[in-house]
Amino acid sequence: MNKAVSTLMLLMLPALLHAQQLNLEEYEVKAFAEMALEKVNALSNNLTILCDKTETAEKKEATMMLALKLFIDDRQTVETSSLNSDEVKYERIGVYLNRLRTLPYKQVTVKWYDVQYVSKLKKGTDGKYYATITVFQEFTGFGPEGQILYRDHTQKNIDIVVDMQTTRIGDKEFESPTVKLGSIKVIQTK
Amino acid sequence: MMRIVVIGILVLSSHLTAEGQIGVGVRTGVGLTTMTAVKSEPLKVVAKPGASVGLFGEFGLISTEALSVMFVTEVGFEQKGFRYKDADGDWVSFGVDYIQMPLVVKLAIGKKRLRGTLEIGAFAATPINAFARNSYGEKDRGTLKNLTRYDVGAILSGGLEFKLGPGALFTTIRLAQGFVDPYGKKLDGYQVNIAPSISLGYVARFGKGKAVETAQREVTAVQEEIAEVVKTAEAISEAVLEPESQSEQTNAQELKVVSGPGNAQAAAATSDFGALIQLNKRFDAIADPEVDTTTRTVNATEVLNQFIGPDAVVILLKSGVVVDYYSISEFLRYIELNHFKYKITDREVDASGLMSQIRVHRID
Repeated sequence: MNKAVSTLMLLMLPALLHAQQLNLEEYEVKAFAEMALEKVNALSNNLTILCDKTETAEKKEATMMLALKLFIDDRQTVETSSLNSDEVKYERIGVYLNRLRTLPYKQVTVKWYDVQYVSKLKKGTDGKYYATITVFQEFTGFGPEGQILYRDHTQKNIDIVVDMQTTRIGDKEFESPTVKLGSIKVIQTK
Repeated sequence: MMRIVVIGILVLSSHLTAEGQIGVGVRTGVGLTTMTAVKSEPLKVVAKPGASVGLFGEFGLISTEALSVMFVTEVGFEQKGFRYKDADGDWVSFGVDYIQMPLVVKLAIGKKRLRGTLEIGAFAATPINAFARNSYGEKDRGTLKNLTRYDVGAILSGGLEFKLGPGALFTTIRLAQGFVDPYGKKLDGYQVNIAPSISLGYVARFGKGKAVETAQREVTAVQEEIAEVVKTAEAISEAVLEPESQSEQTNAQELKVVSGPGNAQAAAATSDFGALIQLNKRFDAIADPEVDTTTRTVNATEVLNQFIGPDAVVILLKSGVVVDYYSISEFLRYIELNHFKYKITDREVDASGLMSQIRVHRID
């Protein structure tokens, strides 16, 4: 009997693990794809605020919180590069966002443009949906006199994931498919 | 008699199918069946393990976000029986295989992927095979003729189901209590089957459930369109209610008279409509980079005052699909920092008139 119960549980296990598979309809995939673009644009706005030396610490703190909410979790990484080095470094998203607030320039501007999908949302073997959005970033660091000390243009790819997420607001929990940003990788810098 | 029952089930099923979602499923399980004595000295019996397998159909009766009520018909194979010690102290095992047809009402409770289920109903069964075997391995297959040709009883079960694909994976613990003595007058007293079992299965669901989701999405899309119309109406009403000429003033007064003293329901609807317009205007002001910080802060405070608290829920929609959740305080920050323009699609208000949840969609 014990053997029968154990066998039954073993038979159930893969099915239970499989239970988190998403099956999105086409209109849902489209909606999440639109939301992913909105989140990338939101991140772009957030980066601008975090770099802006004229913004208040309170506003930057609120921006940090909102920016982190765009990502799957705080373990996602961001690759960074420089024209002064061939090395591509990476750091966790929280560390990266915090570092933007303290860059050694009088003023910093980060502009993202040509935001577009390089691979559309498709279902992966693990049941989640994945896509990649590419952005072109213009980073400019200004000196005390307003002169440009550093400027580069970097193409970056952002991982997009749609997965079941539990969102907690106050004492309520909502479980639903949610689109989040993943790690950000450098493609090229010039 | 059986033909009447079958025809009755088919007629009922066809009617119910028209009312709601239908499902087809399979279950398999193991149980420990035994007999209980009702009007005799209890037999000193022990349980005998048995297997079961069944095919069933589900017919939706009621379906809300948190509760589904279904009618379930099933045809299954069930192994029942028991073991007992005879006068010589040797174990004798009785096994009876039944074709069993349960009819149950099933409740599925919960609105997440994991739901609890409760089934209550009855079953009818007929034995198709029986045997008696002693501890020496001697088997008598001639016991079927000694059995009552039918059994009826009650079913109670509880379990869990996990949404998976087009249906759900489920597990249930079921108790089937027979009311008929399988051995009639051939054994002393009066005994009945009792069969607790655990089952695992899958049900694929089709039809109106998906249609309801689609309909809800379409309703939301229509609500979004209405919100667009409201936006246009705002612009028109602003133009009408801020007239520059005397004749325009008169027209505006006439307009106010028409919309003013209606019945209570109309007044409430007008008030609700006005509140939504006002709230949308405040959202616009908060998201507008041209508006100064003080005005944005005042508008944010006014908005928060209309909610139960900073943790009131904001559900973001795209084409009627829920794509994200924010608290109202986070949402106001989100639209302020990003200059994203959102409009309210609908709202939930508590007894004190404060909003506990709103659904919004992007308009720019």
